[in-house]
Amino acid sequence: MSIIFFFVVTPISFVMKILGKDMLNLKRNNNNTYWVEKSGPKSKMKNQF
Amino acid sequence: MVTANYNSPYDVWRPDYSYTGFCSSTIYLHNFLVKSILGISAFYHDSAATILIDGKIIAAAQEERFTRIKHDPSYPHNAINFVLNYSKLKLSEVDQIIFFEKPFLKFERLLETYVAFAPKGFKSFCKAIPIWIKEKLFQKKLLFNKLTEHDENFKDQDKIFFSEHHLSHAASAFFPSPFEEAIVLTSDGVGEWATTTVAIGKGKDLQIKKEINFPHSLGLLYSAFTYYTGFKVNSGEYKLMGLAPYGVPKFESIIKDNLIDIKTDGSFRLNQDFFNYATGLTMTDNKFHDLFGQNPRDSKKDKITQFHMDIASSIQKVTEEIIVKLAKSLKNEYGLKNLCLAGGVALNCVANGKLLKEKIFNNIWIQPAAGDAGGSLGAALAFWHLNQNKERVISNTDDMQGSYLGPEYSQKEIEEKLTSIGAKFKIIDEKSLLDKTAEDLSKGNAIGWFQGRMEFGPRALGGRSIIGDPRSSSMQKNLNLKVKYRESFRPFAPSVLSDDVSDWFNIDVDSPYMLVVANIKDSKKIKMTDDQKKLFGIEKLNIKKSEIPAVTHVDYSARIQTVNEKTNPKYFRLIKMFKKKTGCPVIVNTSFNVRGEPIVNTPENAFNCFMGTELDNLAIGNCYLDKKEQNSNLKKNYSRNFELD
Repeated sequence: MSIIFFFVVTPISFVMKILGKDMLNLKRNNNNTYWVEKSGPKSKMKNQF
Repeated sequence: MVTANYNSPYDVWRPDYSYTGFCSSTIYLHNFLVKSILGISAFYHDSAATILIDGKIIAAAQEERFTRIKHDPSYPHNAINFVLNYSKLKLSEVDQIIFFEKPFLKFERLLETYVAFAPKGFKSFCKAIPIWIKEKLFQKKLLFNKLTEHDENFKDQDKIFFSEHHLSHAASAFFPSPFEEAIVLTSDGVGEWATTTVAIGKGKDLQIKKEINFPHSLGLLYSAFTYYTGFKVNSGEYKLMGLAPYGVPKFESIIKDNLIDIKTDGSFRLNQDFFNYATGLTMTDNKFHDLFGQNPRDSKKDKITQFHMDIASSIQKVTEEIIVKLAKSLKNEYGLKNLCLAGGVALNCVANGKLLKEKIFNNIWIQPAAGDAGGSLGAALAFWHLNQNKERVISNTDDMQGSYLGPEYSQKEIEEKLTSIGAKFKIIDEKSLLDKTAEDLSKGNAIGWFQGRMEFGPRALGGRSIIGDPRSSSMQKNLNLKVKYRESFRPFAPSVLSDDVSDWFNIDVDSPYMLVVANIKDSKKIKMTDDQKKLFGIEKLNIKKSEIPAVTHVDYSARIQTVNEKTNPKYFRLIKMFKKKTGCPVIVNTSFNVRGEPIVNTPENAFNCFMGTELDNLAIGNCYLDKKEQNSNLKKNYSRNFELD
């Protein structure tokens, strides 16, 4: 588990931060909403995703 | 011989099986045109199962009631067996089985969270990932294996479907409601990604329009404060809510300036610098503790102080502000006059009461099983209407049947069980039972009331209730200390005849599921003296606030259940009898269990709770029991049996 965490998860995290991606919308924003529109095709109930 | 019985709930030929209380005298023949759906929620908290037949809710129950483990998250083997038996179906005969959420999406959220926060979260990663791989990535296989234990002829994995968590909540809120169209707001800790969603329901259609995603969550915010004040997460939130009126919201601006950014439309963002729940093993971190100046309360050693009451008051006020802002902006945006609510946050009945008072919407309907147990119901309904495209049949009450969807026991079963465990009881007809119970209530007795089908959802609604006289000043203290063995600040709630509710409380709508709080009418209040007005915190507890002090909280509020004759005739008649004797159409209704234990399910559970507490009487079916007549060897001490939740 430690190997996966420190050699896979953590580097991906650094790369994401360098690229400026705010994955979980953690940053405060100056827009007038935090709602996220739900778009895209509806997920089928057959699927687990 | 086979005959049709079109009075049965699902238009099939049905057997005579007196043990469930069904009164059908026809012989069963499985109707192949009947469509049955089994909904399941499991593996996080409050596992449950629901069965629909031709889109009608037939039975639903939470696993905890069978295993006696509160909020039991494990696969709901017993609940599934119950709903199948009740419907006289074998699992292989069920057409579809639907799980309430999508495990792969949940797993994806977990991974992305660790990526977002790394290198923080190492400990939690090591602990969580192996479990989640097993439970989430292989959930379909896991479910299938468990399902085969019910019926060796069940072999078809293709019958298993997966709803989405918040769609399940939204469906549980909209489809049973009496509305043709409505705005549906769901809010909880977290599902797969979403924590808060808005959907529009119209006829048989339901579409989620927008959402707020993890880690920004009203449910997790409230749970963080639940943890901080020393109550258990995912079960103690309602205690935080009950504590709030003892305090003042002096930390409100600290919360709004530091922890949460709330937009005008009510949407919000939580500052993760102060929370640990994303990747840690606790809810709050040291920055949070420094902000308020204290560490989290250790419930084993630390008492609840004025500080905790003020914290509770502050977070309750912020939560209410968010919910009201959300409601107002959604009304402006979508213009519909009906609102439906579900998700764990919808159990915050004080916030619901504020919402009602604001009169933003003409009508509000809240799913009684608003938490994850209701996800089993919602998933099944979502499948029926959205996947199978079936029309809704909308009634002008709702489809929940009073939420009396669980097991019931025949008079014969009750008598046999009570006899086998050594209980001493009288068998009396219903009229005498109502008379005796009402009489003993008026004398101040605490009575266990076990009648009909068990409730689905966290509230007891006169199926499995402990009842008392609300006019008694000592009832709240006695019930807390001698019957429920719980914290003495906890208020009790009233059941009131629906026709009389507006004479006693500031509410003019039905509240059949105890999900709304309203104040007692001014005419029923007792004015405080100047000295009493100066009291703070827990000292307020002992002031007699109204003519029905046992159900009046320190701020004059009450969590109301309106009782309708059609929905629960026996309970209605009992309260009517009590009104006849006393002039008061209100009784105390608290759930039939001791602290930390799930609500009782079987006659044996009921007798054990009766003998393990200082309940005076037990009215179970047509059997009436007096504590004084029982064998004292059967007495148990339940005061320390279950951990406080």
